[in-house]
Amino acid sequence: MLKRVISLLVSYLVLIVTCAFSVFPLYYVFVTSFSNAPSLISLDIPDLIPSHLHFSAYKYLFSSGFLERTSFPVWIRNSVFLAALTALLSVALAMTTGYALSRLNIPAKKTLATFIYVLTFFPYTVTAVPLYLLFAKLHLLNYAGLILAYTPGTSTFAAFLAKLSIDSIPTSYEEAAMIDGVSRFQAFLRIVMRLALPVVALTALLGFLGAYLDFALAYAFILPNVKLWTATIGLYYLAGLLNPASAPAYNIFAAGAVLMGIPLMALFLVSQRMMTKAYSSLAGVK
Amino acid sequence: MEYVRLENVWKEYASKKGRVQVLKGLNLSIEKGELVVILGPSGGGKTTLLRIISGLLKQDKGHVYLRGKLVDELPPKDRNVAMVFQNYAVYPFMSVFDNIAFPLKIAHEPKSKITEKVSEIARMLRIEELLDRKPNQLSGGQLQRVAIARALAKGADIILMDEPLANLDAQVRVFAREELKQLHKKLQTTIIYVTHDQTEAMSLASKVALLYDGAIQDYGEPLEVYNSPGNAWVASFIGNPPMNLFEAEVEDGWLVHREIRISIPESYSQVAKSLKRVVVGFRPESARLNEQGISAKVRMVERIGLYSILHIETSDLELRIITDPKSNFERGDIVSFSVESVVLFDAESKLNLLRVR
Repeated sequence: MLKRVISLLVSYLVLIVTCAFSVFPLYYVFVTSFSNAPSLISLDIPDLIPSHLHFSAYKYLFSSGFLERTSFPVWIRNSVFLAALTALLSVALAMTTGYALSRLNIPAKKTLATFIYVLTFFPYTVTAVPLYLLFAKLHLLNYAGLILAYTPGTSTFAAFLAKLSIDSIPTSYEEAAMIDGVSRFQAFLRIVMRLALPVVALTALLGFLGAYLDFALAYAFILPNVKLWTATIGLYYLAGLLNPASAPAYNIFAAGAVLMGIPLMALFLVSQRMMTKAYSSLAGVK
Repeated sequence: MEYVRLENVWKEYASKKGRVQVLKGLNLSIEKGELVVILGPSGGGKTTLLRIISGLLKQDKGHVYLRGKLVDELPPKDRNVAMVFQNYAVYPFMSVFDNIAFPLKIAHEPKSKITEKVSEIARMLRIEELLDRKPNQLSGGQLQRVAIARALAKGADIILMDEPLANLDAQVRVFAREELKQLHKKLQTTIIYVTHDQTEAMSLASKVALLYDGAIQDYGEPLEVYNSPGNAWVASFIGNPPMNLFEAEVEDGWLVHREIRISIPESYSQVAKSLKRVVVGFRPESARLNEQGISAKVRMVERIGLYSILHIETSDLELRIITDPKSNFERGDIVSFSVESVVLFDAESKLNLLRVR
């Protein structure tokens, strides 16, 4: 009995400590966003439990007309748009590639799969400079270019995941559909994609996150065009981080981070539901 | 009327060890409304054959005709066949109703017609109360019915079945077999059914085709194949225990192998006359123990319950004969037996002498 209590105590202690470590930064950002002191240093330990909530940072972010009459919500909308397209393209690319690697009789299949796997080891931000030079030549320093640059960041890894996931789906499911009257492509869309839904959701989530949170590539590609700015560039600009001469306003940065988190939260809830639903419907199927 | 015809079909697979010829010039012709069971050892190309008929796989050489029309270039969706898979392939994310309705939805049938048809088929297969359920709430036997229901819903008059009963436990399998037989009687659809289970083949088939070494070795009604196998391989495959086979000399009216002497039956007397050596086959159940027959030594006794199998040794041969379960032979006993009926095969080609023309 005592042994059980001790082991429970120890495990809860470990959980509480790790939880504190992961929750504290989020809480810190949240609290900072409601303070009107722009400097991090001015925040003291008693300030961690704020006595008064200031909305000045949020007000500032929602006021329009910074540069060329744009505003932070517009930049968030831009980011969501970019990220959504990236997620869609990533899913399409990863799933078709995964399907081909898993099912179709294509030449050099094994080499290709290994190559894709190895590619995922490289961080894609190192490609920012060569991509900038290449895309400048191709007139792709715009959203199309950004999406093209973001997509491989997720889809190479996801293609490999998709291949593994499709490998585990018995071919008879899509064959049954093909005999029942659909083409191979339709069977892929209606049956394989549906059975591989956890990977589809994961790919979409990763693709969205990658594009939504990117700063380096967006900064390199679209800095001159304020109307096209993404939320990350906007936030850096508004918090004074783009200009080394100005003092950074961390309360604004924190408020922007909280606002940017809202679409992510929504997406995460949806994709998590999709994943658990997909898993539960697959349970017990041989 | 010839409904399904395979003409000189060849299929080769590339594997790690090189190329494997699975089908080597296979010919088969199936009449309308028959339930043809394709029987053969595992890995013999039975499933390959079904996949070629359905169009999921394309043959390297040869032609497939369905309903008298060449379909080599048609994709599976345009061949108007239905298929039941060994693992049922019932979509786990759809309800039973949606599964059965799937082929109808694809064909863009009106909703009222879909509902009507699905409930009609569900009633026939007694799965009406399962329509709202998800596949993971069903038992193996129920899943198998859903798979058959989906195949029927399509309304195709050719149904392919790839070992549909293999994943069921023994008791359910016997019921399912009987039901399938009744269903076929009622619907009169052409069914091509693949299995490696002899009992299933014998009890279900209106005709059985034996697939081995890339070709159909024998094709006919189950009992005809059993009693008069087309060649020595078929004789050694069909039956449990299978037919006893050994080579013998032909000596004016007798088949002789050392101490064994069996008289040539009348039906073979004409064809056997000109031959020196033949392969003799006799079923374990057509041997009778008696006082003055061929004498043999008992090597082993298998007591099945319904009968006992004696493994006996005589004239360098290991033979199996079936006896009364009440007999109490032991290893080492000397028995004598005579053979009541034999089948003769050509010593070279191993073909049944009666079927050679």
